[in-house]
Amino acid sequence: MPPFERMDPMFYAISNFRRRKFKECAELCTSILEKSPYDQCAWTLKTRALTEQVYVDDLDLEEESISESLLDENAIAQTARPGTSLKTPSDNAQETMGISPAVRPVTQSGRPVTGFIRPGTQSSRPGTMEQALQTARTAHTARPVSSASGRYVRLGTASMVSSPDGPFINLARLNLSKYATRPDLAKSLFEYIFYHENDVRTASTLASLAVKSTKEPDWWWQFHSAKCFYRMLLYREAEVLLKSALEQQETVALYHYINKVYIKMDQPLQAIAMYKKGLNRFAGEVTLLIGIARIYESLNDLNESVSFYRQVLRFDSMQVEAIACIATHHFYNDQPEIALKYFRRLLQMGVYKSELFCNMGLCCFYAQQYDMVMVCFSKALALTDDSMLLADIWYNVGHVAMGIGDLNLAHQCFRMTLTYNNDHAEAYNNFGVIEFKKGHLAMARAFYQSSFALAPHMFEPHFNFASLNEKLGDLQGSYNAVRKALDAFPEHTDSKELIQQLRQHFSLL
Amino acid sequence: MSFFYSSESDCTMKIDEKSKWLDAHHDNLASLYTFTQCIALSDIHADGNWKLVIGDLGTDNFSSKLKVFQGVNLMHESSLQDLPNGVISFYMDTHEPRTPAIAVCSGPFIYVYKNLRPYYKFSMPTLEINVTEQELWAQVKDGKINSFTLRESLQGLKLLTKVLIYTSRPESLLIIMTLLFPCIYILNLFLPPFLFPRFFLPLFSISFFPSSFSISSFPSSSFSISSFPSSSFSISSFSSSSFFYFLFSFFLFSLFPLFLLLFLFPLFLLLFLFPLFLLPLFSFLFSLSSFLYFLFSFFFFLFLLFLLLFLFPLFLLPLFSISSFPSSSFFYFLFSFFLFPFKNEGVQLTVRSFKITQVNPSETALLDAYVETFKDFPLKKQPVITCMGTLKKSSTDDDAISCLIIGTENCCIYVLDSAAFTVLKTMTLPSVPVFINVSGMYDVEYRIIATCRDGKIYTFKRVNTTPKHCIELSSQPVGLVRINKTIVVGCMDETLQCVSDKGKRLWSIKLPASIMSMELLDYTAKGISAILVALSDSTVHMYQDKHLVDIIQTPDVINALKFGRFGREEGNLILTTRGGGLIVKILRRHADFEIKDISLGPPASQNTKLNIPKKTKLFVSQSVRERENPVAMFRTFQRDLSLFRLNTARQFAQILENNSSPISSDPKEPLKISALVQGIGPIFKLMVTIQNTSLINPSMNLFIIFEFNNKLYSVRKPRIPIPFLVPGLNYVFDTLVECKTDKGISDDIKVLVFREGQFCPLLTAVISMPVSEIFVKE
Repeated sequence: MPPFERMDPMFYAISNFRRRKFKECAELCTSILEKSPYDQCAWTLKTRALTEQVYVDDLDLEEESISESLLDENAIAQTARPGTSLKTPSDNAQETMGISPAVRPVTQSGRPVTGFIRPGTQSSRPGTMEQALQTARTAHTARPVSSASGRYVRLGTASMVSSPDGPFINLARLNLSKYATRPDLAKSLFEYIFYHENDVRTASTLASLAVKSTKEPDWWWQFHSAKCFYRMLLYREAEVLLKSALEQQETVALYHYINKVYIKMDQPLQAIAMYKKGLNRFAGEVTLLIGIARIYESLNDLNESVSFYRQVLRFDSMQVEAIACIATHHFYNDQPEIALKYFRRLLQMGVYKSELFCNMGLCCFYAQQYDMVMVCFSKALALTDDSMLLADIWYNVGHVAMGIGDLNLAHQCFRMTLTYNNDHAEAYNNFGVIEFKKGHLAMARAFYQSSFALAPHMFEPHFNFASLNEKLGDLQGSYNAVRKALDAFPEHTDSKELIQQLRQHFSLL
Repeated sequence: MSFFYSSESDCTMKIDEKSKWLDAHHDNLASLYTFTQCIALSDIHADGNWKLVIGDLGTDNFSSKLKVFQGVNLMHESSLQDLPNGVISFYMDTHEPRTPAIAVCSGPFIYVYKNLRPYYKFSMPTLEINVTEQELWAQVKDGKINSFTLRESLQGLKLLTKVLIYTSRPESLLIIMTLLFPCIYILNLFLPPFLFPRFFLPLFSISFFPSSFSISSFPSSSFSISSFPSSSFSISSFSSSSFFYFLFSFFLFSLFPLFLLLFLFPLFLLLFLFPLFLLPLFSFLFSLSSFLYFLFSFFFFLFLLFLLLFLFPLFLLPLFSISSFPSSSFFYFLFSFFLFPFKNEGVQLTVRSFKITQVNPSETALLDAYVETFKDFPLKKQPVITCMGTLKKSSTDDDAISCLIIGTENCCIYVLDSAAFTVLKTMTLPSVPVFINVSGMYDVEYRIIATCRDGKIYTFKRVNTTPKHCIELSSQPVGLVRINKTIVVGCMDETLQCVSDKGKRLWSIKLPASIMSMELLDYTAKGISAILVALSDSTVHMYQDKHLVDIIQTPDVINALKFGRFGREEGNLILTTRGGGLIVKILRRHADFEIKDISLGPPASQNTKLNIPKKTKLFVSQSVRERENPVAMFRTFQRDLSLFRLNTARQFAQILENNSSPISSDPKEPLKISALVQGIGPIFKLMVTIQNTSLINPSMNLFIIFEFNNKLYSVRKPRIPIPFLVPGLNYVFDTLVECKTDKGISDDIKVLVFREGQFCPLLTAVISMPVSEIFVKE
């Protein structure tokens, strides 16, 4: 006879719950409920156990879906002033900070690449429907879902499968107003409905009933009511509730949630102000600091962003995201030796990843520590099987090969890149340049074309195509291409010179 | 300024201490679509309250209107038959009170309004109609040909090349002329100017230019050789007798030293070496071989002489043509020189015939209706007016009687008497005038400056009926302003050029954007004259001489601007925007007009600091490491590199063996494939793009198949045959792919391109499929 048979089943269930053995806990509660169906204690514990199984920390960022980004009506200003919106990152910042796309590559939305891939950094805010529907290249699994609610419905059905004899609680038959007056039961019931059943509408009804039932406003209920509104894309209502909740009780989670709402409403400056308010109360809270740094990064204000990442490291010197972002910043600011230090720190912390070795290889190469370069790349190649990652590593090796003037090796590397990932626009572009140097103009043309077809946000293929066309005498084609290059990168000097030349040609008598 | 009431939506008077202008009125919704030529300021009622008269083009072809504004209010509006092309105010009689008339030109007519009532309509004199065209219409009228044939014949007539016209003339004449021209010109070089036989020139021009041959249609570059040493501007005089004298004297005076240098060397060769070659002749007079040698040397020298005489001048020509000429201008020059008779220029048709050639031949109903409507009317050809100006008759007073100067589409300028509306004088131009500027008095002396579509400025004086001077520009003119004795032209190449009225280029400024319009700011009260240039970047620049003195920022691109007296206030600037807005600004009386070029000094970019981070201590210490053991580091690097090369080559070879790359490695089949997935699932669209990257070799007998996990996916078209691939084109093939699972997993799909009968794929593309969305079941 196992020892637990002799224990009080309720106590054992609680013990299981504490040890995060939720499945066992739920089974025990089921058996208790079979004996005494009105045992409120067991009922509550079971709802909590079931909730904990599927609980998602919804404080962090989430991938923005196609429908949300394309049919966004929540932004306050449609054409916001530069620097005040996430959609129009300030151009001024770009000039003064020295981050030009020529130095630091950009993502599809025209932002400099970040050091740390998180939801929203790869393909936020697509310009057209077609761009939105095409699979984002490096985020091949984290593609935008059709809508957040659709995904939650799937999570709900998935949890349903685990209970074969129907749902635990029949929501349709629940007398919500009765439960709303019982704070001890209502909170766990709410979480069950919200996280496990994903029935936002019922959860919202329960929350609003609960808010009304108490005399003085309860911040917990306001917070969770706001969560429901957020899920239903009613950001204004969520903001009001969250503000009032903050007045009663300041918590870090509340600050995070209100900033999520502000970002959805495209109010980055407001979000930063709110984060700073939160920092006054919770000084040195790392997650809040990271939040500020992320917003500055998406506003293209990289210097500010890096200064906040540094603050993060002052409080938590093991923060991977902060280290990676600072390292990337140094790398693209012509200080690869410092970037190398940061990457080595990551390696010491046990992040033994192929991406890291690839980055270290590049840092070594640009910091002139040649004896380490090829070792790093070989390790990077050996550590991964992911074809996307392999493609990127080969692409970087190709850069090193071009740096040492070995065009043959570069050619092979870019070929390998395209083999592993045939949508690699940068590789197509570089391939085109190599073919052009060899004198295969038709090939070069074809490669440039496929490059800008894959990545219209890059200025390089457009400019290369333009200069090739100009050499071949197709001035009109060249003009069209260089216009696109300037759309992607308005400050590109070579493009500007080319367009000047072309204009002169056209206006000649 | 009592009349400027700002309406509630508009901005009120803004006082900015630095600005030279006061904002008097701004109405974005005025819906005025017009050009600078169609704006006039006039004291219509002779009450000292000047009105703004605008020929509004309207928003379609039939809503043109003549609008008169008093203050900011629309005072009068009358519709116009056709699009207005110019509006001008002038005095046509001596009656008291002195009310001016308004002339509006549109099409071939000038409508004269007095006291805002139609007063007179003047039609331009008719022109001779092409005989063939007339016959064609006659035949249509008689029903001999249908409308389609008419259209085709007219089209042919329009495109008729001048070759036909030139065949009636001996073409050899032209060639002889081109050959003799350099000879005479070389000969003249060695003669001092005072010995130059003046009588020879007219003789030359008469004998080699047939009387009907117009010099003006000669290719421009061939005669743009005379040049001032200081400027790169060229001038050619057009009165036929003095033309060559001009040309040659310039060469003799200004370029003689240069020529001397370039010619002395070959001359030296010729004079010194030629005797050497004659030596054999004397020593072995009767020896046959030496005689042959002599013959050879003789012809060789003839050849040298030919080179010297012909090719050198030709090579020199582009050197002295305008500076902005492309480097290939020499070849262009040669080309145009010899191909000149084949220049394509058709017959000028009547407006009616021209319109019919623009109808799409497939729209037969429209064509028939058009012909049916117009065939019974007599065919008339009237020149369309392009520009208009006024010229005082015999007095310089402000309210003196004026003549109208009219430039037309048939390359003529007419002087029109405003009292009787008769043509006083006709002047011809080589091209169509687009801007015209007139100064002086008709009875005394005057000067007409016209810029033409061929990018040249022509000037006339009282005695001329053909241009006296021709000034070449680097690009087409878009605006013309005359200040005192200088002409300022805005060109299409974003430059503002200033030339003296004799044709000497004084200065040229590069502007930041292309010019929309230009206007003279002549503020007599303070004796200021400046040029206002509206640019396409929504600014108006003000230039005093060549100094930029002010920049006016406007909310929209300015289409038209006029400076002058408006209301009771002098010094108003009327601006109309591209979006139809109307802006009125007043020049401040205390405006500072000291010439102070605001663009002077070093450029702003010179002061910005480049963001280059300093070299860190870490870098220094690392470089120390590098300096201490360079050999070991280099060796390690080289060893690693060669290992890496080997590995890469191995993997590469493997790829080549499997042909698993999206670019073909077979040089005979240069193909490229790329694939895209679109959609959110469960059904995706897979698009495969294939391009043949060779120059000439087409590919055929290919097909696409897909390799996939059939538990996860089903592909609608598993095998797609590829048609004949033309080199250089992109071919897109697509198929639908359905994801069969709802577990949220995905897999790769391989796209393989095969040749019929082969077992190894030519190309491979791997597509990592996205995770599919599932159906949400209610």
